[in-house]
Amino acid sequence: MSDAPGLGGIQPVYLVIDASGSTALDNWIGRVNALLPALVEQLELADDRVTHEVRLSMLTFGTSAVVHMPLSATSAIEFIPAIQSGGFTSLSSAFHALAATIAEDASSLTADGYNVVPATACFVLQGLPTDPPDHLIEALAELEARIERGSLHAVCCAGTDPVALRGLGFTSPIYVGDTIDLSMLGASIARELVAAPRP
Amino acid sequence: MDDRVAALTAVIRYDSTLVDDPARLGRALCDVAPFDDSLRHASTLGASIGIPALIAGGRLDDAVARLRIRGGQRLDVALWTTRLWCEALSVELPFEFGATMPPDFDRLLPASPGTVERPPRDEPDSRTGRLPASATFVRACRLGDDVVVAVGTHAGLFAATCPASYAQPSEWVNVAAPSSPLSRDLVLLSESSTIVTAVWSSEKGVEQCVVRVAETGIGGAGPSVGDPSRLLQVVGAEPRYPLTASLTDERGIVDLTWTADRRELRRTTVDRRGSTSEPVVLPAACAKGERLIGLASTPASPATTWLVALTDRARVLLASWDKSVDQYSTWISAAAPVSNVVAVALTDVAGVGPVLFAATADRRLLCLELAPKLSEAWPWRSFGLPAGIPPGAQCTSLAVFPNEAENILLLVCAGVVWRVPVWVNSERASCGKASLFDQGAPQ
Repeated sequence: MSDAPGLGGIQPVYLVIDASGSTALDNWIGRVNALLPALVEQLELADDRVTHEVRLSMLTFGTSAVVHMPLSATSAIEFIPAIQSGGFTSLSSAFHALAATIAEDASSLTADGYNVVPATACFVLQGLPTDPPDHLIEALAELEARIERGSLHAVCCAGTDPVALRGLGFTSPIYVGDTIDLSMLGASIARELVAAPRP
Repeated sequence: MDDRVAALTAVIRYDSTLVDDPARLGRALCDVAPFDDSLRHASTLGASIGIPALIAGGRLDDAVARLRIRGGQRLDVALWTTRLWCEALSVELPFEFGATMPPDFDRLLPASPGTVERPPRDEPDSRTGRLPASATFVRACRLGDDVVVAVGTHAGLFAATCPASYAQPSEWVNVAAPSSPLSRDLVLLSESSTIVTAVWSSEKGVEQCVVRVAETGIGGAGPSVGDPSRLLQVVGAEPRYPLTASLTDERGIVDLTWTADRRELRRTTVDRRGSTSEPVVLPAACAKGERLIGLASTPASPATTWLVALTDRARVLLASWDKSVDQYSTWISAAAPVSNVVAVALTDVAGVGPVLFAATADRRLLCLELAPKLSEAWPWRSFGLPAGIPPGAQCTSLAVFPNEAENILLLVCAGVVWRVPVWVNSERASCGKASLFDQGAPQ
């Protein structure tokens, strides 16, 4: 955070990755680990096309959620720690953690004199959550106070119920089949996350 | 077995309500033991047919029988599944467990709509007015200071009355006994402060009768049911469930929205002289292979009506009907945040407007305020889980009626009707403790 305040501001981008026990199935977590470098590369390319600076943070969740990688300039990311699977699929924990992280990051960036562009987030999901519905509703309401409607994206396993995903606040999920071109998938996600320059 | 018991135990300790939600239970087991398909299949099958509740009640032989009959498991697998659930729920296994099978398997046969024919007509127990069978659906309608409650059972359709603030119904009275009663539906229409009309689907078409509150011989009150008459005759098809009806104006015109195949919805308008309009086919609501399980309607304005359809894929669909030009909007899915909605009901909440109430199989209650125009935003709110209903009692039906500052939800859980007060306003949605409504219904 030692850069001078940018002309076009900072766009925080959050990647929230399901690391629950079920991601061991079909080596989903291995494929996600393989996807991450391609995604960061595509975000870096996208960063060159927009006037604001894109910064990426990564959270993982199982029974609870943690910040796996703090908000960083995409060009400064040299090493992405591998994600291990385990725990239940508590999406409400991820919603709570993301809401808190967005608030903290925005506060820090603003205090440093940056103009903060509204955040976007992409959830990489292996399946639907294990939380009770009322926990999810409460957590989603907390998150929606921190992120604009339509800014929650999802990449998920083929066959995940699209209606349930919409109910969870995700728009236009990207479905991943058995075979994926990581570079193309990374580009698709980057396009969703880094839209046209915002004022 | 030990690893599997440990996995199921861990899941139950993580969230005990998972035993009521087989889909979520399956996902949780997939997290704990991702490569154990047998554990997942046996556990979710058990949860979906109520095995945890039977085991918690000590009915182990019934659990084995149900796994065999409703779950299609071989005896050895059924014993294994029962033992798994017993150990996970810390229920002690008797020494002789599994040595003999219960003799009355017929009692445990599944009741699936459309497949069960009417048994010999049962009347309520004349000494107690109790329902002769478990309820499958419930409907309710205010009648002055009282409420008329109707339930469907495999023995027919029954009604009771009750002061709106009370949870103790009058004696149940048989309204009708259509053939295949589990495939029929009933709607209660408020005609005035003294008359409710019951409208139901049957093998004869759509029938109706008047229900009033009358004094009983012992100083109490109960339903007085008029003679049935045919409201609509359908040639070549039988109206099934779901069914909804509304009174369009003071002239007593009834709009019936009905289905013969649980896929295609038709509307027929019937006036008081018995003249019927040509059926209007509504826009298609179901996807390929999908069936309707619920239907409700409520006025949105003098000229428009909300229609809500629920499908067997737990999709909650909304459409509006503009009566002034007789035009229906296309159905829009009100993306519910849960995937196990089993019942919906509509009512106009004072100070709020039309509100859609929904119940999940695991008894969670949700609501959605219906904005004047359909949009992509669905601000669902959760009431949570009403206290008082036993775990494992799966919800199958929901009705709602207003009572002063609150609304009352009636839920059918495991064949028994429960009464739950709820409060909805612009700031909060909350529910009170559930109380047993039909004290006489056998478990």
